[in-house]
Amino acid sequence: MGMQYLLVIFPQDCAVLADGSGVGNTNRVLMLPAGEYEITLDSNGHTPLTQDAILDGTSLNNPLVINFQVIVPPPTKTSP
Amino acid sequence: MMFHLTSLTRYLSSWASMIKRIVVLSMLTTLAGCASTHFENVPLATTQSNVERRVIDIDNGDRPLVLLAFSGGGSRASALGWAVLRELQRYQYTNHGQARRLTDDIAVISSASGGSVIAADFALYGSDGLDSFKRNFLLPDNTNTLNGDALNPVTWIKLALTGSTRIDLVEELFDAQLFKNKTYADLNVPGKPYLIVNATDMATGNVFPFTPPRFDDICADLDHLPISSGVAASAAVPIIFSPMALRNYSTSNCPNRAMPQWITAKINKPLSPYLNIDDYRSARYAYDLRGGKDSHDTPQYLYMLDGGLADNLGVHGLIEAISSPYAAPIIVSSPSDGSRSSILQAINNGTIKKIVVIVVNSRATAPSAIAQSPDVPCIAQMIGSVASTPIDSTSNAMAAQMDTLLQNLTAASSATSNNPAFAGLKVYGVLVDFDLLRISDPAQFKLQSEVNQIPTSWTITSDNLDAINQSAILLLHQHPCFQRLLMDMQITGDFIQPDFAKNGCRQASD
Repeated sequence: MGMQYLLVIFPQDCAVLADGSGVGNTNRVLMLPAGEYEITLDSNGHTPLTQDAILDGTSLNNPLVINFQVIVPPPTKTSP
Repeated sequence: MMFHLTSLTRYLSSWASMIKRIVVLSMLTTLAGCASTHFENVPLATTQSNVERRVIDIDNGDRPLVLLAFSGGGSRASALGWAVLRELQRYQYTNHGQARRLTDDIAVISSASGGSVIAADFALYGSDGLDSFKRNFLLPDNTNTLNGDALNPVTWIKLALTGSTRIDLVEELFDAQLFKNKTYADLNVPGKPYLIVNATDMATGNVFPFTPPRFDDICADLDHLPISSGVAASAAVPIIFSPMALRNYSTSNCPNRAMPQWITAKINKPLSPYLNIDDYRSARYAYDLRGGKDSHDTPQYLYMLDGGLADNLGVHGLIEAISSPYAAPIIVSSPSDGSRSSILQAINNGTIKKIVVIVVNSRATAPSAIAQSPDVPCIAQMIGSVASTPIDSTSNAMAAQMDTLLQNLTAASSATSNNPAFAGLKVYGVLVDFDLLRISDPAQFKLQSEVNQIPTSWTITSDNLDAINQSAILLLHQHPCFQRLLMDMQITGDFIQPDFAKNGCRQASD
């Protein structure tokens, strides 16, 4: 079974979930079997909520890279 | 994996000594009439999933993670597994001032058929049970016990009245001699290895592991199942023994439960089957067992045959345990908060520093008379030859998959870019196989001839056991990755040849 490589970029260190299962952490290359996965993060807020990752033909030096951003909370309204 | 009907004849030829009596028993039980089928499993009661209580602490990678696969092969397989465990038990190292044996680090055992007997016994009793295993199972004439039961009229009446079948005699033997009414709840305990006893689903040819996730799929309570049931299912040699019957309670007892995300993802993603057909088939099988909405064929009853038909090496379970993101989370990832991770997640997080995979293959290849005869082989010989090919091919394919996985892990451990936490992971793949005895050495050649003559049955002689034990010790000692493991753990052994070990078992750190 050939393994594939995924790198999830996120400003914070948090767990990466593939189809709901923990597979490692952000900002470090991860090994996964070939396949199509729904990737999400165990974070306090990220966008997009999930991303599709198609893992095939990757290598250690050329992993599939996907990016998530931190959700910036809207500014709180102050009363005049 | 397809079920090969012709595979049956391989088993028939190797188990021929029991056939005659079993046929008599079959006829008599048929004459006595048939009671309703006896199903071994009960439904889940109040929860909708089995609880996983096993947890393996590898002390942040200071301890190795040892995984074992035990093949089928009757008592020959049980004996080879036992001999390997006994040898591993001899090697000790110090971890935080405490002496540990290599057997203390066994985290996962996957097995088929005869290998399942020793696998389950070790999972239940640990190293301390190895002496009693020899006394209670390897030395007695189990075939004689089974034959005695088969010819006892009381047995015929009992089978006819209780709906039990011939496999129940094997189950009773295992229970009386080894498992003593213990159930899977006794195995599902923190610190005990994760046991994957494999049978074959007769209808589909799929590997059917007796594990909590698979029992979740059929909404059945694994904790209540006797250990002897799982082991007997794994060793239900076709025709000689009847299949073991399980009920699928998904539709009756777990209606409307949510399908696990990984299953729906694999089923619904359009590229999924093209990228990884094994994962897709695995998801499809679980989906069918769970009675998915458009499941074309939700089985209500499952009949289990010998696990060797689908994977005689028992490595399928290990491959999933190591590489699947959806495998059971059995590794302690943070002792402070008690969180756990799957093996893959622990590798990706750098928690596992040494992974040791020992595949114990007890296949015996007695010399064929065909090659010594000028006569064209007869039909029986041709059937025997054709029948052995599918099982051997499947075993070779499984072994190749495991090799590829271990090579991938070794290659990945040398990574220097992208900051992988698994950089520096050490991987030790050890194959214990009679084929690896060195025929250039007259003593090993003689030993190989001896073990290759040991038939596949539930009885071996004490001479057989001695030969198997000697082989196991030699095969471990002369394997470069076993030597390398001992070197890297500062365990001494007068058989270790440092150059041989380093050249034959390279690591990223070299």
